[in-house]
Amino acid sequence: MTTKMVVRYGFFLALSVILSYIEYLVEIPILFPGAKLGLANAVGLLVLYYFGIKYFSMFGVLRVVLSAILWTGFGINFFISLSGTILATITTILIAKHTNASIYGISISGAILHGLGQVIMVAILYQTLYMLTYVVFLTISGVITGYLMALIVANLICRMPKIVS
Amino acid sequence: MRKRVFNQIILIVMAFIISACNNVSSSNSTEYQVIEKYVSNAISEDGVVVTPFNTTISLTMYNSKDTNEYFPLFEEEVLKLHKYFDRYNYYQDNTGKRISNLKVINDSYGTNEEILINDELYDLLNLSLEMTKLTKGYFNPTLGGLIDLWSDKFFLIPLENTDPDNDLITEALKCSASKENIDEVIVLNPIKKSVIFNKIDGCNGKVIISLGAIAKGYAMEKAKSLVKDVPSLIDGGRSSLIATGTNPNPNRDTWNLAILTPYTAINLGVLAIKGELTFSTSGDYEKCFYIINDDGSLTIRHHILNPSTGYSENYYRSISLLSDGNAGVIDALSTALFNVNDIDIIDEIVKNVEDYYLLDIEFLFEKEIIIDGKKMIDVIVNENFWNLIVADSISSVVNIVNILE
Amino acid sequence: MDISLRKNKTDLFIVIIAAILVVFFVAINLFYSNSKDNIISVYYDNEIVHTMYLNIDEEYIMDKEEFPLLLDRMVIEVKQGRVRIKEEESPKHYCSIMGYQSQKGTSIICAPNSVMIIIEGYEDTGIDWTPGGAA
Repeated sequence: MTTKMVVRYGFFLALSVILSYIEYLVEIPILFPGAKLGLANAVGLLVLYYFGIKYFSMFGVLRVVLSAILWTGFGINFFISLSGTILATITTILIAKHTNASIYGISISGAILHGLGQVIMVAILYQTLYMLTYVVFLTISGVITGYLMALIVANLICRMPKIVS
Repeated sequence: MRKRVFNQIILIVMAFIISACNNVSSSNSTEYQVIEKYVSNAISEDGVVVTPFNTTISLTMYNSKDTNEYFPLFEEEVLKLHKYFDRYNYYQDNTGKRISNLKVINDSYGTNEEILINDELYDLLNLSLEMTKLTKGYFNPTLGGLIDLWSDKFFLIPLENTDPDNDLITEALKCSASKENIDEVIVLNPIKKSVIFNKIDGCNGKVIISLGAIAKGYAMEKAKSLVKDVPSLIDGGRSSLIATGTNPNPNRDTWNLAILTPYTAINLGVLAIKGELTFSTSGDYEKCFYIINDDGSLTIRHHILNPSTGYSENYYRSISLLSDGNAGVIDALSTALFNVNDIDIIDEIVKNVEDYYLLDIEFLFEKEIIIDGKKMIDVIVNENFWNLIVADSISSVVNIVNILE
Repeated sequence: MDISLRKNKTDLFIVIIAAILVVFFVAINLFYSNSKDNIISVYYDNEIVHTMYLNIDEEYIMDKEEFPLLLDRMVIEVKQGRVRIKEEESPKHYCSIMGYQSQKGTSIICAPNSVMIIIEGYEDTGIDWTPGGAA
């Protein structure tokens, strides 16, 4: 891990945190409250592409933890976000490693499973399984935002210079 | 390769779904569940939907087998008794003929007509006459006219209102029987199972029999005989309770009943009783309103009226009675005692009733007291009753406990 | 890492798997909700007129036209595992004061409107019976 890589990794991490914060501030209700664009996750995809699986594996978790330290705190929402991020990260790694899915498939499935991870944590914490209708909408919005993010990332990668060793 | 993996995943997921299906749907029908079912409404002769005893009557059983077996019979019995004891509506039997219920009896006031009635209505009227005498007149089944003056003013939470006109109350009292003359007013013939409702001298209007304070308990008692062999809870209006059998709850073997205070969400304590029981509780906060006195203070008016004065009394905030049987008697007694302040008279009345019906009756009275601006409860209670209350469930709002032997 | 930037067939495959996982989760949800534990029975005039589920968000609107015993329009809301009477007419709004309920076995009784909302099921609170304020 060269200094260059550390710096670049840090850059991406910071960018991800800031985007996450902006989304929180602006809170564009795409389809309904709680659904986010996932810009921070787009950065994660870039990290996956440029840095590889090892660096990607910690990226999501680091982002959530940093956000918690900076503004969200370590309350219920932290665990919910963490759960979604972990599930998405694990499955993204499995898919990226073992299948030849493109950035589109990875992004969309990541978005869907991020939502699912969140819902599962809510179900555990509140001892209820109440989010039935919510789950359906989260999945649909996941497909849409996943696709959008993949589109953005794909275009970015095309236009950006090769930056990693 | 891809297709095979895909298919395998589909199969695994399907297997999960199907097994989840099986696990949930096959529930053992005799495992412990709490199933409460409410008695549905009756339809009067005019097609009006009438709530039985003007409240909710429910049967709680502890597995679906018992519920399916006993609830239909229970409901049928409760509805039948409601129709006979209802003074507001007419009902028809299967052949379309009007049944001789309480409304029919009230219609016959002063006409000298002899009305043939069914066993249960006869029994209830007889019980009412007995209780009038045993409670020294503090329970009175002829207060229909008086009750009608007050009933529209009551609500479930206290709102401000005014008393009915005092002259109307005086007139209504003239149209009620006393413990001395009630046997001549409501004349029962035990052989014919009939009743004649005679005129009262001095009454310019009509005398109306109202069995509201006793009918519900009586009906619950009758329904109890249908379910006495299995564990169950019979609830009447969330103020009367009959428990049959022993509590089948895996965690405890006593029936645990909460005793309320007039203060929201604060229990006085928890009563823990093994085996069958009859319990009744009434309070001035269930159906009431308040008036503003001349000096600005508030007085609560509630639905239990003193047959001598025509007004409700404020001696107690609540009375709870515990017994080994006869919910009808307990209901009537609970109403009567609300109007008695003298502890000696209370003892006398309770003993009269105990001896006559061979019952064991324990009571708990709640009086409100204000200490340093804080509302608290003074308790007057029989020793046996107090001993059944779980010690560390007793609320801090309890001030003095006067335990009577 | 080499990730293709062009959409391909595997994408669809992967997305479908993800969707199946979600469906699987929803299926567990549905089966679980059909057990006695999540059922909310809405009684009008002592009869069940509607069934809701604690784990399915819903707003049930009762109009005076359909339910003449109501004092005015009533709205019952299930949201985030809890149920409450959201809108109703009664003196001092006696019924909606209770707010959200979520414990199995509890009930919201709105006598002025002849409505009872009962969360079916049972949660052992150590008490078998509590007196209430029914007429």
